Amino acid sequence: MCLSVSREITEAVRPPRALFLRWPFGRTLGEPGAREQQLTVLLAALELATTATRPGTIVDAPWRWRRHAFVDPLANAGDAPHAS
Amino acid sequence: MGSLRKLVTKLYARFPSLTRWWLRRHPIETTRSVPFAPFTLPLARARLGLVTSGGVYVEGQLPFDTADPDGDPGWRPLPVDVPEERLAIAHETYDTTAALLDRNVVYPVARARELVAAGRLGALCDEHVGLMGHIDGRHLAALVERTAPAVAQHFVRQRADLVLLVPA
Repeated sequence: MCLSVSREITEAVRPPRALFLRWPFGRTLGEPGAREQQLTVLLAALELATTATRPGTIVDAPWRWRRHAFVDPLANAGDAPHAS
Repeated sequence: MGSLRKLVTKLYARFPSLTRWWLRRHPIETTRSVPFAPFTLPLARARLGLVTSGGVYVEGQLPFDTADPDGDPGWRPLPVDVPEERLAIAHETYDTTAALLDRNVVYPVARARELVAAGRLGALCDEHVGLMGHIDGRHLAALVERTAPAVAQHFVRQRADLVLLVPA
């Protein structure tokens, strides 16, 4: 499975499972030092292993760049993306 | 890094829609079938391998070749316990400003360690993998025919249950 910052490339390459983030290149997990943001993205990607049962699934992450207040996913439940 | 290339990478970072413009001029390799294996193991018992294509390597290893316009199709083993300050980056086709401040934005090994410590993830492989993205032209065959199978075998030897690719 993979993270993606380009839906066009991911649709062409067709990895087994992907989490697409409409974020800038070079900041795939988020901003430097943003632990809560990075943990949230990583957990969401890993959870695709069990939730994405259709080959080639691309899930659009719901978070807008610099418009979302991330909380610590190790302290709080929720904040998961929704499959499209 | 040349100043013009540095400016271009910053523009791509600032305006992701430029990717669509780039793709119209640089067709990428496509695949017909999707490799897929059902995954039934709980994450809390799974062993994770990480692949970053952000040009991450360990100081002392041969850096990725940034002078070749077709990129460097090789791979570098990234031992899980290497301190962040020894993780270097050789890549000129994305804006590395954020990754140089915090490797986790392209290689989230510290965050993965936290998931293991919290019991949300079973374990990490002993060695993860660094690649250089933006492989093109004459190096595409080496990437597909040599590097990809070698990396897959590496993670079989590492007893990985799942592998996450993080592009940059």
